[in-house]
Amino acid sequence: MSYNIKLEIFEGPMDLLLHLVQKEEIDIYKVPVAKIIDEYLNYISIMKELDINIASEFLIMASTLLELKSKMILPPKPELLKTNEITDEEDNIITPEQLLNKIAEYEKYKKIGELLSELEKTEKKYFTRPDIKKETVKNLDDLSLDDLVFSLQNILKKKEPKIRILPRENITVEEMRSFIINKVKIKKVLNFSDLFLSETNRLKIITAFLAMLELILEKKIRVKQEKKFDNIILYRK
Amino acid sequence: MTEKNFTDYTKIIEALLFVSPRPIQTKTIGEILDISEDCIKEILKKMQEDFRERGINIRKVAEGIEMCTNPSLHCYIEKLQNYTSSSLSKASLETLAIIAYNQPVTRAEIEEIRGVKTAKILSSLLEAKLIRISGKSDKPGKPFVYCTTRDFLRHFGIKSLDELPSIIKI
Repeated sequence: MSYNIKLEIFEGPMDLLLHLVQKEEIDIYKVPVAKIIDEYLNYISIMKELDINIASEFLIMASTLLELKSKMILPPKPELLKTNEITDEEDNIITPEQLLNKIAEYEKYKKIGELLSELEKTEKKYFTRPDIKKETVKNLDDLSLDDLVFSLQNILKKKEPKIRILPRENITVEEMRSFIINKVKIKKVLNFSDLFLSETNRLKIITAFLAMLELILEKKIRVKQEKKFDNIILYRK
Repeated sequence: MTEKNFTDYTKIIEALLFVSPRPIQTKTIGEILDISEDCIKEILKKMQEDFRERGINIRKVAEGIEMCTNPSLHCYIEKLQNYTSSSLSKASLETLAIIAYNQPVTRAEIEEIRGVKTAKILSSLLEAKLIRISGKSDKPGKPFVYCTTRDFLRHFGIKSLDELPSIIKI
């Protein structure tokens, strides 16, 4: 027995669902939803086996369908029977009817799209004259907001991005540790902010903070902070 | 309208149609000639008939009137010059269908029907000027709403949006 797997390309999960429903060759609303769900999930698993990249939309639909299927299998809770409609809304799970409605709606627009394609083909038989005086300056009254946005985007695209190399601060936590110990030895008491000269950056502050935490843990220094976000004062142990 | 006026106006309208790169509205012609739209419609009707068997036709499209080649001659025109106009993709046509029948419509509403992300298609349709952003919705986040344009009508040879439902029964 040989397998002959032929995978069609679908525009999205709705397109695939519509294809599965149309295969049944009966009225959309008479389609067995459970069967369609099984076929959809089956299709996804074949795609996985064949290692095809599956767009996230297909997976979202798969999870929605699984949720719907599990709900269809489970008997409704007796205490919820009376308020069935309300719980449906609360659960936010689509019903089989809603699913079929969505497929029917999608089918409608797919058909219109196909008809538009026919119109497009017919229209190609008509040729009109292009603008003779293209060089004339466009009257500002004719400009729409979209025209302005497009022009601005074009200008912004042309602007070359400035390339600059950011220098990497090569200070390690170890270096910062000995730096702090030295400072504390000399000054006995100092503010955390005193550890930095005028130019500093975030990385340097973080390194200093980590070094400080290590030194506290090893009981080499003590710290004090009056209140939140206040200056941290470092002491020699 | 005397007979002399009629031929004079016909001459002017013919020149206007020849020069205009896009369909002209009868209202615009009316403003230029300072005559009523009814008169213009009468003249245009006569012109359309006169041109019917010519190489150039006059037709109603995209809420206006334009000169175009006789559609039966397209095979000769294609020989003259290699006209390769690209067709819209299935996804674009689907998206246009949803916008045309639901406008003004938000991106989320389009995606709800199609079940697929549509941002890229929308931006290419915007660039092709087949759709435009017509405003913002009152829904949370004030998303943009999209409408079709006159270029959309012209692209598909549709006279006006009112004509859509009768062409395509849904």
